Amino acid sequence: MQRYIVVRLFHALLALFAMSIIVFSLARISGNPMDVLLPEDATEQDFIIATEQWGLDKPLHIQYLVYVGNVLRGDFGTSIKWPGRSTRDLILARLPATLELSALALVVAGLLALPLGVLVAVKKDTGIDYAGKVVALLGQAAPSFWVGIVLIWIFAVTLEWLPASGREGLTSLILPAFALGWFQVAAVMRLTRSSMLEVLDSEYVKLARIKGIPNWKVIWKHCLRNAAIAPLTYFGFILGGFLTGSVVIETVFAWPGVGLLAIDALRARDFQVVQSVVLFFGVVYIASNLLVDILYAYLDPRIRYTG
Amino acid sequence: MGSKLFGKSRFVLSLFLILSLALVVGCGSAAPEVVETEVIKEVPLEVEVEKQVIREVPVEVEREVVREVPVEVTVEKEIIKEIPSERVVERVVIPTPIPAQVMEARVASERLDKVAVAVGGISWDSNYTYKVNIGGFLDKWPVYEYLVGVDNATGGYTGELATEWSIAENGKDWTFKLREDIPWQDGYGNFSAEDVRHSMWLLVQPTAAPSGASTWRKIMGTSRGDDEATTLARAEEVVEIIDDHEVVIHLGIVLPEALFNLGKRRNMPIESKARWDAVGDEGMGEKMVGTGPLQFVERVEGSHVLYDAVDEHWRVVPDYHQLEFRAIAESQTRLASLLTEQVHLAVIERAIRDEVTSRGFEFVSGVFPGIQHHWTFYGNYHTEPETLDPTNPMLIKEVRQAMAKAVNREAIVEALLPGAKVQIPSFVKFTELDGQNWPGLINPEWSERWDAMYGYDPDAARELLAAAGYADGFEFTLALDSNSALPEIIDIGQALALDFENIGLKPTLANIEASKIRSQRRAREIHNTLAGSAGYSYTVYHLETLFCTCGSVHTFADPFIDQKIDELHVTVDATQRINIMREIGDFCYDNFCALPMFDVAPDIAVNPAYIESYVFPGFISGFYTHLEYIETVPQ
Amino acid sequence: MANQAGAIPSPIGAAADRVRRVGRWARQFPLVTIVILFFVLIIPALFADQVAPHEPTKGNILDRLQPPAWMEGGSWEHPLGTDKLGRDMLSRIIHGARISLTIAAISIVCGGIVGTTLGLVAGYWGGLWDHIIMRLVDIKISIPSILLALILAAALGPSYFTVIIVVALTLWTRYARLVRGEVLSLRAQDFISRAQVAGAGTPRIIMRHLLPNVVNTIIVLATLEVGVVIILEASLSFLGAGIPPPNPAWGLMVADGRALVINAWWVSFFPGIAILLTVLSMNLLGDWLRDKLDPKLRNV
Repeated sequence: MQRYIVVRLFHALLALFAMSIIVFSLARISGNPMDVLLPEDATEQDFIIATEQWGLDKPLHIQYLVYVGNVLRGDFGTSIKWPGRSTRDLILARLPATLELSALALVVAGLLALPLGVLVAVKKDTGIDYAGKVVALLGQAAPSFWVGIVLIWIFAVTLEWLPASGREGLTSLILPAFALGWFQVAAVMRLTRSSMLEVLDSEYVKLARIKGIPNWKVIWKHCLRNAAIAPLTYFGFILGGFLTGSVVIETVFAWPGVGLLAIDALRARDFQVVQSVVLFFGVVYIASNLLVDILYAYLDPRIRYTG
Repeated sequence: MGSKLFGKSRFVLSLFLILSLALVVGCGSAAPEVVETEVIKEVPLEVEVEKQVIREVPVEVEREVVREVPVEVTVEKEIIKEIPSERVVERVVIPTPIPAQVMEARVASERLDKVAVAVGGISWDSNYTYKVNIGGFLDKWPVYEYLVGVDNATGGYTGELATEWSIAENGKDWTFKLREDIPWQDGYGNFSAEDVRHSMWLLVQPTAAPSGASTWRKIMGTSRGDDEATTLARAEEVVEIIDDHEVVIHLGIVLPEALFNLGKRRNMPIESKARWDAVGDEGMGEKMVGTGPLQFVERVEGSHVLYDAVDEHWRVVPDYHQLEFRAIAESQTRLASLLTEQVHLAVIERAIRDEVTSRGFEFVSGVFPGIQHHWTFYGNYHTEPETLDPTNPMLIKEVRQAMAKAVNREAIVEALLPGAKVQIPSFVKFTELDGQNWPGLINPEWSERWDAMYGYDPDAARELLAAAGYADGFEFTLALDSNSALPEIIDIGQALALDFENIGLKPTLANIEASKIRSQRRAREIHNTLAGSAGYSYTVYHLETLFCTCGSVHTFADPFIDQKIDELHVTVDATQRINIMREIGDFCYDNFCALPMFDVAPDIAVNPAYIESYVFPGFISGFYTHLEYIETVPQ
Repeated sequence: MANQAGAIPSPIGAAADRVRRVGRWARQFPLVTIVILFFVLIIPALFADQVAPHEPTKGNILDRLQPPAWMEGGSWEHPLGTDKLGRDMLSRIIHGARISLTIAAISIVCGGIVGTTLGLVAGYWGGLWDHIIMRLVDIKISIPSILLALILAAALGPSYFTVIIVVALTLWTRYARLVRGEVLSLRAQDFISRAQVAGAGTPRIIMRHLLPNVVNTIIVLATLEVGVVIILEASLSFLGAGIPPPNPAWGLMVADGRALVINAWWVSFFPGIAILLTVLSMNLLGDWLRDKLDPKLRNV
């Protein structure tokens, strides 16, 4: 077990290292931030000096080593678009907003997808099965920005139940979380459905039925508890989906999270921030997957992991 | 297993039937459904309303423009004044300032709690004034004041922190009398001459990156990379402090138009020296502290900036207790926030203006059409022949004229900017406002000859093309940039492409960001490309950056223009300067240096239940300035 | 349960009969999906030039925002109305199908080839190859695809090419993971080792024994991916990094028309419906194919 954790940690570090190289080079080819940073009437001389000031005149590998060195010391660089702000502070300041959003989106996805998954598994190959699938797929079948705008028009403008934008208390969290969560419903539902089908087929469920336990109790208590494990193991992937989705959803709902930060930074060619955000998303993703795997291995000793 | 898969799914079936029916109806192969008649009645009505409004627009625009011209014109009067003998100056010109608008304060209980303004984004989301360019000043205008302000109704220069000013005969030495008893927010004492020197120094010290940095360095006689001590020493020489309430600024260059630079227009906000001494460069980023009628409360990056109204102010105590800028990138969300009264003012796409007004909201336009929209023919670097691309058709004057004449501006305005306050014709960067400031700058012939030179005439355009040897047209890049002050520019570009195709040209549309184009401009690597721009402007500045080799990012250069700009740099006399600028204008006009489109006034949707009036000049960067003068509906 | 209820002889015989009839018809359900796909995606994409009444990028600005033909003010000249530049919506949607299908096809094929090859290598040879490839997969998955797309679009400029590259980069990992898993389980089975013992070379084993067995997985995945591609393209257009205008890409049309959602709903609604129908049918078709071809493949 310990060895397994050590090996996985090593893999995670390796992945992060490779990712930092990829992200670093991608950010550098995405354009010269000096074009955005310096005013229109800047001279050749201004460019040379500013490039030196930002250390961009050095060869790329030196720039990369400096970057990695700084990152290891916890210094993710100074933002270009937000003068005087450290990239780390910028991300940390936006983090709670994105975490709140993802957490509630997870709840939404779970609340919608698990019962739906159970329902379509139990009613397999009936109209309900397909209706359930269509409902789940609808979240994925329309672009999420469009879903977001439609939700705003229905619940904020027409019904006046919820605020249209911003981050002011729990009410403003509901719409973006729903828009973000719905997108993942189809995936979670599929997982629930297939693992439910397996569980429904298993011996102990048949036994429970024979013992005369009411059908609903068998399904919702015994089966769901076991079936829910499969989606849980995909927790990391789902979280990754939320982080990706947050870029669009946060833009639509003016939700000041990390996704919006990434968009703003990208538009300003602030690659200090862009590469840190991508790296940060990567860390969150890798860490959550690692955590799930370890927990899973811990909870279920039958599972043998090799290197 | 598979065969039973789709059993008994009446539900799904009906759903799919409905969807496919919708599609079939959509494709037009089925008769219209009767159920839809309800919808049918409403929408066309709206369309008609839209058309009516559009038809009215040109009339409205003309009327308004005519009305505005005679209103308080700033005329430079020459007044001879006695000066102490130790100063070398003989004659002083005093442009008279318009007194700043003073608004009486309303009883606190009648004020609105909060005025929230939804904008697409705070482009420089930072509390620093000297590390950001003027494009990021939207959220700084409320807090800071200037030596020279801008009158919100006439666009003229007002005395803000300066009460009087005068310029010496040499065109370089400016004397400012300063307003007394102006307290700094946060208790940093009173505003004094030291603050003026400090504010100018801030713009050239090592950490500064303001707009027009190179102009500031010319003004201060410093160069980039100068350390703190050097720049401090320069600031002491440049800003001579006569006493606490009088300074003489010795510019490094001849600049009779320096009120533009030393005031609100080119952005020299007055910062407190006492605060700098207390908190230093790093502390300046913590908050904004000025002398304005609003004081900084909080900034949540990517979300909002919040201000409190001050209780007392010499100029204006706002009609509300708090002001908030909210950054909402998606325009549909801004609209929804306006409709749900989350915000009281919102920047809304012009295309959906009717929808907004039909729901009882109003649009307020800037007094001046401050968004000057033109397209640039890239590759005309005629002062550096080695950088020219000889295959570039846009080097030929007739081709440029043909393209200018291919454009149906009226149709584009009517279709894409319904209800906006638009002015056609406009000639690149020679604006009505500049014409007011410098009588004689604008050649009346430009409008008289407009139809012949630039007016829409596709047949003439085809003939011109043929005469230039391009009867079959040619291929070129039409660059679209979505990060523009005029978001409609993407649609305008596509409409232009249709107009060009109409005369046989073959444009290829491409999304290229302005910053990328700018770096290509700098390297003279962009050729045979047409790119749009929309910005606020000022003649002298833009002649230098767009049409002079010295501008380094010029779009069209010619030895004649270069020579004239050199002359401008050493000419003090106002009339002579105006003549030189007009000559450059004549040259550009006759040679089709750019493809002029029109000027648009920025506008903002307001909720009339809360906002009674809002007057803003519309040519200052960020556009939505003078929010302190908003009159709210009494509560 | 529903099927039990059906088994009990019902006094309402006619109703049960009707249910049975509908049930029989419903068994043709994938046919409905395929019919929709044919009319929304495939025919328009293949015969866009013949079917579309107008050129998709041409228009007269004076004809802008005409409503669909069945509404007051509409005409059969433009059955689905026109957009804000006066271009015919129906023609744009028809040509948009070609763009969507081309992008989906090219990027899925590219991503599929790369992913399948890597998955085969990782699964068959295992060891170091497996490690390297799976780490690559990890890395790729942990970079949010939208951000990657935006960075690439900033570097290369938004274009067809950029969108295809981005989509292909996003897709290959899924093939790699699934194919690797399949190959691992196939290798454990007898027939592979028997083939090895019989002296079959590696290429032969891969071509004759492994590929035919994973091809179902690939087909199912490819079907399900079409929707992913179309939605990703739309999201990119929303963020300004998609197919550049004036191309009639569906996602771009929805993104462009969203401002007019109230006063000219048809500009975003019809392309939106096209996306919805395509994604929905492709997903249902994929689900159906999966159950049919490859029942054990449940976690796609």
